[in-house]
Amino acid sequence: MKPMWKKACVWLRRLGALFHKPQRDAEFAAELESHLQLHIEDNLRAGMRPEDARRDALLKLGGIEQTKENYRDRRGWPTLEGLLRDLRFSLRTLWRSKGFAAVSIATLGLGIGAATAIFSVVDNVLLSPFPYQDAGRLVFPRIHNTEKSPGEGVQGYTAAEFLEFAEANHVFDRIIAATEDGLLYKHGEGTELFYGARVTPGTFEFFGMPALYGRVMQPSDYAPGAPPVFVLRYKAWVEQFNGDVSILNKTFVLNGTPRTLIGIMPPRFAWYGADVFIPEKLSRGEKAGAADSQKYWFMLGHLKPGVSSQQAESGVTEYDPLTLAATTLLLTFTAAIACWIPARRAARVDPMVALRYE
Amino acid sequence: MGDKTDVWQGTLALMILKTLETLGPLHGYGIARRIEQISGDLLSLNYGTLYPALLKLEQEGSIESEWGVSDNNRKAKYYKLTRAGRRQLEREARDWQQAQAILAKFLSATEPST
Repeated sequence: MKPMWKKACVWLRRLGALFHKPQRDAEFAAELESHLQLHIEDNLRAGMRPEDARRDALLKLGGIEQTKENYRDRRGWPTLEGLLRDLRFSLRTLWRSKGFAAVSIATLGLGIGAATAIFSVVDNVLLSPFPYQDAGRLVFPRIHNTEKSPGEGVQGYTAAEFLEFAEANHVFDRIIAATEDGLLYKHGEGTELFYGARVTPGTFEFFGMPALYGRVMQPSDYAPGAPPVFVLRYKAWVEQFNGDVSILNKTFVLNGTPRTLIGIMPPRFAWYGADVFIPEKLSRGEKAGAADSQKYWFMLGHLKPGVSSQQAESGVTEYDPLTLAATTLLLTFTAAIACWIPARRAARVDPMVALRYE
Repeated sequence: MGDKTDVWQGTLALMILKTLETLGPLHGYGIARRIEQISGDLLSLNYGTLYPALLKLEQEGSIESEWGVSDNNRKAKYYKLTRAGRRQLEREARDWQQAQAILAKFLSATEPST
């Protein structure tokens, strides 16, 4: 038998020994009893007095209880049995005080949730803020009329509306837009669908992130008649192309158009959640295709220096530092309570009570 | 050897296997007596330690057990070698003899080698 196979067999047998313990105990007791009887008979034949014969047999065995204990340790899985016993004890205790159990579970859940939330905030604000240039001043505007709440505002605009807004606005110094575009990628083995985004001129300058490989789009890439290009998101590059750098500057057929891959973005670049970015220059007068005229564009603006988002009157609710700090403090407090209450409660359990439930 | 030597684990398993090979199916008490007799009473064997060792061998599939009736008409659990146990015995006996031979040479080498 191979050693590993043998080990697996032993484990299985020891696991099996966790069941039918009374029968197994009884069987071993019977085996020991028969052992003692055989020994006693031998001793009697050798001429010992009956009481000496029995004492000698017990002495040579080394104690019945001790032997049973050693045997049990070898038979089952003492660590696992101890663990199961503890688990049963805890469940029984919790069941006895259901209210307390419910509160504990709720508090723990809240505590874990709060700790996660705090960490998310700390991570995004302090440890690794979004790597976009001047990320604190980027605004995603909604336009709403005065009778509706900001939440009901419009956030998608036609190309004409976007150009109008971009020209007329005086709160943003830079403004970009994107719209989604499903891209069928045809290759030798079949066709795949990429979640693409068309992006307006200035998009990559807006975020101020250089490409990881290759280059980002230049103004000339948006010009009419320019050679078709695209930029790939890091995640899509790793998942679809196994992080192969050699695909850079190769041509891919996307929605029937051969396009050259000019750049792969760094991991944190995820504008619009898109896998593939395609340049598009919007113009008001242009007769767009029937499908394109239905497209809605989502805007992202960069506030001019000295303009607050309140002044921007865009209806954006700003999460100001005070709210952020207050929320974080509240969550920290909740998490601390969530840890403290169960600990205090556990510390108050009388050791004798714990032992009694063993 | 003045004092009686304690039986250590791996050796005990080997002795059990060898006993079962020589005598055929046997109960725990019989195995204990046999080991004691063969060792010329030089080993002090706590009979109780035999049972965890038997259990271990059974878990490993080297031996199997069955209830039977002894010569003097008593119920007893009989152990016997399996084929895997026979192979294990051969292998371990060979290893043991090898180790012993090496150690014997080692201990008898009095001349410093150049």
